[in-house]
Amino acid sequence: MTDTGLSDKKIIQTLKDSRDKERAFSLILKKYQERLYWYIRKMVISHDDTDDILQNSFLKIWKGLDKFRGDSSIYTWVYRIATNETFTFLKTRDKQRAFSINKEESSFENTLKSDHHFNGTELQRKLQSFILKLPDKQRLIFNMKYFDEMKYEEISRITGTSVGSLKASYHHAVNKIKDMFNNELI
Amino acid sequence: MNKDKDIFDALNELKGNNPFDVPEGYFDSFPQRMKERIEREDENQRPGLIRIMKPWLGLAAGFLFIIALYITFGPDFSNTKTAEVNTEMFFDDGTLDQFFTEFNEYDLICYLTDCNKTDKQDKTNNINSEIEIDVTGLTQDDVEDLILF
Repeated sequence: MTDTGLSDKKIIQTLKDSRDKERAFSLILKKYQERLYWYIRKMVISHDDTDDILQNSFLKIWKGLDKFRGDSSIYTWVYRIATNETFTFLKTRDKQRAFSINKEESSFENTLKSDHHFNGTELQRKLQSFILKLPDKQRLIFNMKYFDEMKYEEISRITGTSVGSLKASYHHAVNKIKDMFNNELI
Repeated sequence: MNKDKDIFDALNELKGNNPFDVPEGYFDSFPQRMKERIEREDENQRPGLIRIMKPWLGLAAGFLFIIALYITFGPDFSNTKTAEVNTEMFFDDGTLDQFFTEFNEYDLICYLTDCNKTDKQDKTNNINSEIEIDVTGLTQDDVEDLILF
């Protein structure tokens, strides 16, 4: 996860000064492609699904760049787009699963088991499978806080949820995972 | 409890290690694939002739529809004009004054008994008889002169 490219302020300045949309997009792509990839990947597990969502997110970023005035930071803006795209995917997936005969086969846990691009330890696989049992929004907040170590204020700006609710949600998520580990040990 | 603590210590140690990976060269090729995707999207959204003309055609169709509605259900000008003229003629002050000054009992009786018709017919007959010309004694030249006048 590398941090490449110019700062957000310089990217906005490039966009404002020259109205060079392609250059600004290229800078955003360079800076955020990896970050957003891992952000989405932790939510949907499958690489192929992540690739689709990431492309859709950058397509939205490209289309919205003309209207972007820099009121919010690029960081918040691109994460919000990726979050929306991820939730859209998850909702569609849930609807499809509701009509699916074999629900077990299409579960995230099964995807994780059969994922060729997962090379973590057994403990990491267990942690991921417990995280996958959390509700979507709680899972997102847990990932942002635990793995990406984002500040509550940043998460609040991206998700539009109050800091208090985020703290409560994260606290519940941690307790649930602890309980799942404890039950596993008994 | 110690086991529990050990697990979370182990997890915290592993936190920095990403358990997922990506196909080789994925991030290097992503910008190019993204560029191609955007080009495809732009091509799909490039406006054709019909797409350019669509708003204008819609506007024209709207106008035609309004005109058709106006013609079908709008006011009939020819009738309105006649009605206006009739009303003006009838309610003209001069006409009314003249009508009332000329009106007398005899006219009313005539109107009710249809004597006007008989009078008119008599008058017409008189006029016709006045302009009757005896052509029996005229030569062809006299007839031609009459026609020319």
